[in-house]
Amino acid sequence: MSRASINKVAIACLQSPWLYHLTLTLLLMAAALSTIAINQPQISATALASIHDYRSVSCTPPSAQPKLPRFRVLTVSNRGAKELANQLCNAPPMANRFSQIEVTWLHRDQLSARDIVDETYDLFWSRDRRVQHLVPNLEQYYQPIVKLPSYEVAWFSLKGQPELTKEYFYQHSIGLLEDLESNSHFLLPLTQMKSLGVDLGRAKIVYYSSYYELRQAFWSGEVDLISDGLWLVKESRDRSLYWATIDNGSPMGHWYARQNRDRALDCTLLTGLTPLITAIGADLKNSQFAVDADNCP
Amino acid sequence: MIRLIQPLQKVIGTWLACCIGLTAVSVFAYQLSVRHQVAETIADWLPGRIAEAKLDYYAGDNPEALFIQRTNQDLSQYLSRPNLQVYLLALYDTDSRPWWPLSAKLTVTWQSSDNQYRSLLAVQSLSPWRRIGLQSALLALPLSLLLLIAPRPISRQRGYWLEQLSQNATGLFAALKLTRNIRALPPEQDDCLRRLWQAHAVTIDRLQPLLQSPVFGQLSPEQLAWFELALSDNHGNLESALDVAQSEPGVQLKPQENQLWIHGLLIPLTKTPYCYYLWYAQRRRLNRDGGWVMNPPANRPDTELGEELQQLMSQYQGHRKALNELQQHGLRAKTVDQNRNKIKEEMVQLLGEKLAADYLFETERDFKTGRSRYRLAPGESRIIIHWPPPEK
Repeated sequence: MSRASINKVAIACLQSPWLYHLTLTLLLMAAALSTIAINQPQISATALASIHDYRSVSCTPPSAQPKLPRFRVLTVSNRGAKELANQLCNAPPMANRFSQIEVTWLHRDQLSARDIVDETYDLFWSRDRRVQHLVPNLEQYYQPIVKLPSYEVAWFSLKGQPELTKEYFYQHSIGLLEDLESNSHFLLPLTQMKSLGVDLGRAKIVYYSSYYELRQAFWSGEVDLISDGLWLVKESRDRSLYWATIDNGSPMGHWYARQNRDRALDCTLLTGLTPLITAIGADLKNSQFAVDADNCP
Repeated sequence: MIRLIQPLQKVIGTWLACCIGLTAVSVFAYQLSVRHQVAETIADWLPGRIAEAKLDYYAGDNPEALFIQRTNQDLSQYLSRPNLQVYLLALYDTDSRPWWPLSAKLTVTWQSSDNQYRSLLAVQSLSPWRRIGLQSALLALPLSLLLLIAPRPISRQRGYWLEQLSQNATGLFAALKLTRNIRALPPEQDDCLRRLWQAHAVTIDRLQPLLQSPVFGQLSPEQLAWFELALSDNHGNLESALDVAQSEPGVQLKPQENQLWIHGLLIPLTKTPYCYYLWYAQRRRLNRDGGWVMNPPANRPDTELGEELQQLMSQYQGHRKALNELQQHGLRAKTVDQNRNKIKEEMVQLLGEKLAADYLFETERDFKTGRSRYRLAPGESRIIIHWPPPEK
């Protein structure tokens, strides 16, 4: 390129308003980008990612020492879990033995033989038929400390007295819970229908993914029949509710505590469990304590 | 001091604008990024948590309400901080989608087993105004200076000159320096320069003093025409050309030296036309009959006027032949017309039609006699005649 043509190009550049505006735009953009880069916010999500299980609550006893073990409780529902944890946390005998109280509620099939052998939980609830056969010798690890009273399970209907006949079940829609381990909402009603010779393929069965939805469906008339404990009566308010008993003495299982535990804690555990027992409508007097409750304050 | 105030105002104005602009951009980007990060975090975290919550068959109350309540507890504990609050408003939100990207409401799309869901969050995020403002102010300082310093595109006019000058083997930088004053030049001046340049009446070494001259740029278009004339006439003495341009627009006559100066420029007229011009100028100067001189009738020469002219001519070495003619015949119409035409011819040749016109003749027809009368176009105040001192 000759000197003259270089000069020509240079002069054209000097004259170009386009180039001038490009320069200004580049300057402004560089400044804007650098200030944006400097002021980039940092939101750390690691704390959120490390959140413990959704299905557990925990608390720390006052003046707890971090080196002490955790006290772990297993149940199946979050109802009363927080209260139980708080009660145990505030009980003086727990404070100098444990660093943390954790109450977990899991699906029943998540209690494994491994949990029993490892004595993962200090305290758990289970129906006997589940836990008794998990390991050859349960007593070696756990002791039932509260036997919950048995309760009555029935078919409920808002549209008249349920009849325990095949035809009746074919004519009405039935709401059950998806939980294959559920005594009141799956196992007992299905067992009864089978014993009546109902062809489950012909019956209109709707499965719900939570106990809440099941009840909603029943009260709203989405399904005609559900099976539940007699405590449902309390929810009927002024509606007329009809029921037919499936089982009037179904066992509600036990609370188990580790054999290898500090017995001095028994009173504290019983006091802590009391609200849970009364919350499901069971009479405390009908519960049986494997430990001597009379000596508790 | 006063000279400093205007640029200072400009710098401060630009700086303030940059400050505000940068702060606004930063805050906007900051908030946008906060929302983006929150949305991403939640979208990663929510599906697992919901899957876990779904297995909770016996949640006592409305499981969704419970989920929102527990999630908000965890969000306030693990994600929120003094300048950021995040709440889950609705787990499944189908219709609300805020149009403004920095709205307090934020929709988060997440995936769970091949299905897409949208949740609605509330985000309250405080920008670190003080930090951003301070940084913007600091950054705006060099930025505004650079913006002000950035060379503006040069004018077409200057581009023309750069091209011309750089062709003439002057380096581009020297040409840039030389043409710095060009942009302040009025277009008439520029046109004039271009003509002179193309006529080679102005060369590089003359261009510089001309561009730096405080006078040149302020010449009126008429003065410019005189300048151009003078410069091409006397082969480029800049100073005298500028003097001509600035001279009084008038006529000066020095009868003794036979000189006629128009607009500061010496007009060499031949002898007889000069005398005629002097005669008309004298009449105009004395303002007799408004300076008008009636042409003699075609068939009868005017002896009175002839005598007047003859006296003037004999006093200032008029041409003998012309003197004799006046003496013998008086002033003849033909002779007057001839000499006026001669004057016109010579002056137009020197000054050009346009410039000469102001210093030639005005004519009028006399209604009584049907004859023309003539006078010089410049008024009496614009005519100066330097008569020689009377002889003792």
